[in-house]
Amino acid sequence: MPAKGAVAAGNPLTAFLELRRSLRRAPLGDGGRDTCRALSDALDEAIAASFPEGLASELAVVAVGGYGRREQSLFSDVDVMLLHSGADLATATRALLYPLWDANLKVGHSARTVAECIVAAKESLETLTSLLSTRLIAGNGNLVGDLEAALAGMLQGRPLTSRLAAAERERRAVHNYPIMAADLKNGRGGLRTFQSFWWERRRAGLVGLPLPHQSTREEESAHRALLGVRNALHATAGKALDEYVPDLRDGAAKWLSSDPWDVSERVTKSLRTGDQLATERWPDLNIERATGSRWRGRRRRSPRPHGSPERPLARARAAAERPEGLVMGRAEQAAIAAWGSHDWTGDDRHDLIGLLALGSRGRAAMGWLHRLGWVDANLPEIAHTIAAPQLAPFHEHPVDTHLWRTVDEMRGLVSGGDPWYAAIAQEVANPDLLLLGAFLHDAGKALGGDHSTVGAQLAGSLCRRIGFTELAEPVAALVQNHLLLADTATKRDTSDRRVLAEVADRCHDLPGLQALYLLTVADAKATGRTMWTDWKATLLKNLYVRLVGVIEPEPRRVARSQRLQSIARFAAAAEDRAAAHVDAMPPGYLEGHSDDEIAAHLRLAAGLDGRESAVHILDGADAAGRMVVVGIDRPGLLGAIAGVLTIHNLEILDARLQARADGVACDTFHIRHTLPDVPMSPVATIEADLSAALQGTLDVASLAAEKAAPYRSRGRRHLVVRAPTDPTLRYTAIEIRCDDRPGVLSDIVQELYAAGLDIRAARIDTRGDEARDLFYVLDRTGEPIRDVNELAPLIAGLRSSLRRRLY
Amino acid sequence: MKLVTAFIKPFKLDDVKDALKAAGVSGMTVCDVNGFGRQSGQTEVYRGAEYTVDFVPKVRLDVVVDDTEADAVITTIEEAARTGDIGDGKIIVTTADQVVRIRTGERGRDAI
Repeated sequence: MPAKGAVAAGNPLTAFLELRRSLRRAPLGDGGRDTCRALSDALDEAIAASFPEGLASELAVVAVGGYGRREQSLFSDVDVMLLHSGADLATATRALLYPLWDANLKVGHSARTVAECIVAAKESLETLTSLLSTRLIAGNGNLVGDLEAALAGMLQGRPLTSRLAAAERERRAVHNYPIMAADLKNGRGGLRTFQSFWWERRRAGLVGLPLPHQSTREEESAHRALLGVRNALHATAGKALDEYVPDLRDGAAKWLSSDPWDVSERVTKSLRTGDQLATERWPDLNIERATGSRWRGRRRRSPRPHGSPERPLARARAAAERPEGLVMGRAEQAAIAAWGSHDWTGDDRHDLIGLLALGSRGRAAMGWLHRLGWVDANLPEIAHTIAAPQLAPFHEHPVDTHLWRTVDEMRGLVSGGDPWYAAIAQEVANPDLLLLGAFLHDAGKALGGDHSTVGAQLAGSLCRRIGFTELAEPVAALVQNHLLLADTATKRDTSDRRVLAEVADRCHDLPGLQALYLLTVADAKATGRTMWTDWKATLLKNLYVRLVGVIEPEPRRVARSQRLQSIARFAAAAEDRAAAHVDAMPPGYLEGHSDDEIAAHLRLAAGLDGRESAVHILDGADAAGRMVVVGIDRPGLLGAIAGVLTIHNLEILDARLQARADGVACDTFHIRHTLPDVPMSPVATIEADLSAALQGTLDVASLAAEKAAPYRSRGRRHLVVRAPTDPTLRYTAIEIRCDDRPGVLSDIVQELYAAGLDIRAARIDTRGDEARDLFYVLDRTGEPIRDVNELAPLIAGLRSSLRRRLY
Repeated sequence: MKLVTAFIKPFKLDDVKDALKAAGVSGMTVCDVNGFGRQSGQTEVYRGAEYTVDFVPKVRLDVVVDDTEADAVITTIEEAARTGDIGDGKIIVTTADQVVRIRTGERGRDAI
């Protein structure tokens, strides 16, 4: 017997091995199908030449698996089966398998009768799919015919699609995010996915059913490309290595007579095609249901009444938000595809932020929008990032995946996994800035030039074009500077005050630094495992701490005087009156409100003139915007406001409530009109209703409850009521979390009143579909409730009454 | 042969690398490390509160050189890594008994 690895003279595999040696040096055709077929055919010839003629009636040697489909790669296993009807297997094995082993080939072999095949196929999906690829090499072809007939009978009552989709779901679970170093065979959207399409069609053919789907040119092109790159990896590594790892990319590109960027793009786009085709063909894949939304931002848009037209982003968001997982029906696809390029509305902007906040389901929905041509037509500034490769070894993902992962990492930072980052995020006035910055920070990639500068221009113009006018500059600054902190922390002397001053200047102010710091961390975490270590986290934190020390002390004092001037100008009032107003408000008021909001408070408070309340809408009167309400502070004020807004179809997205020392409440609400097709009520009407509610002539609680009734949640019926006891607080803090819907604030406030509580301040907020409200209350005597024996039954009672009222 | 190990400030890595390359050093190993020396960590003030880092991030650099080149390499690192401020780092020199280039099997100074 020859030594292992050497081939004895006369071994029929000599030609195959010579062909493989030759193909390692240069491919046949495009390196894909042509190469695979040449290898398969050479193997066929060698195995057929070894067939023992004496067994021709009771034995067939068949190729199975990839070899069966003539997709044999350079160093793939040789999968053969001895299909027999009682043949002498010892003779067959010696004749057919020994030469393969002697040639040091890795052989996947089995010996079965038709009946044994069916038993094995019933037990294992892998065996079943392998048998679906059966191809006769030599011997009794009737046995193969019998096997196909038996398989057809077995498959009549056994759907295959759900099992293939389950396998695909497992592949996705391994890699939630598409990666650059993908496994081309078993990875997400890889060759297994394309083979699964083939198996579905093969089953239909065997059983005599219509094809579930046709093989498209797109599918075939992506499939061929992956076969070619897989062969290139085998040729470069000299073994069956299917992962597109950085070390092999240059060699693979050379083998394909191409360059690494082109080959990498071929890989990422082909994998994306496989992934998306699977999503389209197996709608119940629903892998994206795994992650939910937790975004501290504006409240989710309310469900629209039936019959309202849905814009593409709203449709995509609604599809992604379905409890059963992302489902995009054919009608929805057609409706989106029909839109083409369109102007952006406030709803579109709101839904874009909503999609970003949805995480993996939002990413999948955006994938649909891309497939349907919407991204190219309406977000052309980022269309080039989709499946664009990144060659630097530390980049784990294609560009668009990295952008989405950065968004996800940002959501993680904001939602409080690490209190250090969550506290910083809480200070960023507009959380949409963080999402947009994360989503656009690498928009300049794959275009040539300095990607930060190119990206800043793209991001700024995109924000302006789609109506994020106020965020255009801050987002562009974030994109321009997104490498600044990481580069400074690692490459510059951060103990040098000149360096710190220069970097601080580029950050502009503390909010600018905070947003940039969070983006830097999210970006590093999203890049890959090697880019985010405790070492780097410490370096960045040290730099951030030092920069805060440079930025914060002096600018804050300067800012106050500048802001007072600006407020006075807005309010057409003297600067000392603006200062007196600010000084009469609780700490943090100046920092927590914009100049125009404070000016509106000042102006309305001065103009109350005996009235109980006054209302002003600052902007966005058509669909969404800010509303300022000033009134004499008294129990029931917030309830009246919340109820009146509900009556007028205005949903409160978030709210900031304060009272001046002289008893004037100055409240600011982010509102959204829930019925955009119905004209919004005039401010005077809202003001009149609020006045009537405060005077008791309008039963606002009943009207609001009636208005909110159609929206009552049938969802998870989530409710948390708690009161952290802190004897140092001036007020008792009660936190309430529940499912979000229109009118929910009004309902909560009514229950707090019913419990005898006076709301002195509140923070109204939403994370995803959860309302998170914090109320600072006093009891009937005007004192905080500090005794836990008094507080516990109060909270239990609130919990019961709220559950009844909300659900 | 000597194994020269240096612990330097991270931002000095490029300076040290360039200086060593200019001095004829053809290879080095670099890794991120945390530690403290006489500096005993680092304390800052963050928004009125004390913020302490017990283990300060540094870069560790390993270079193997022939005995005759050791002093020059040490001086090169020393000069390139120095800022004059506290925390500039340390250089430690140990004797290397053997060096092997795996690809060729070369040994000793031929493998450096």
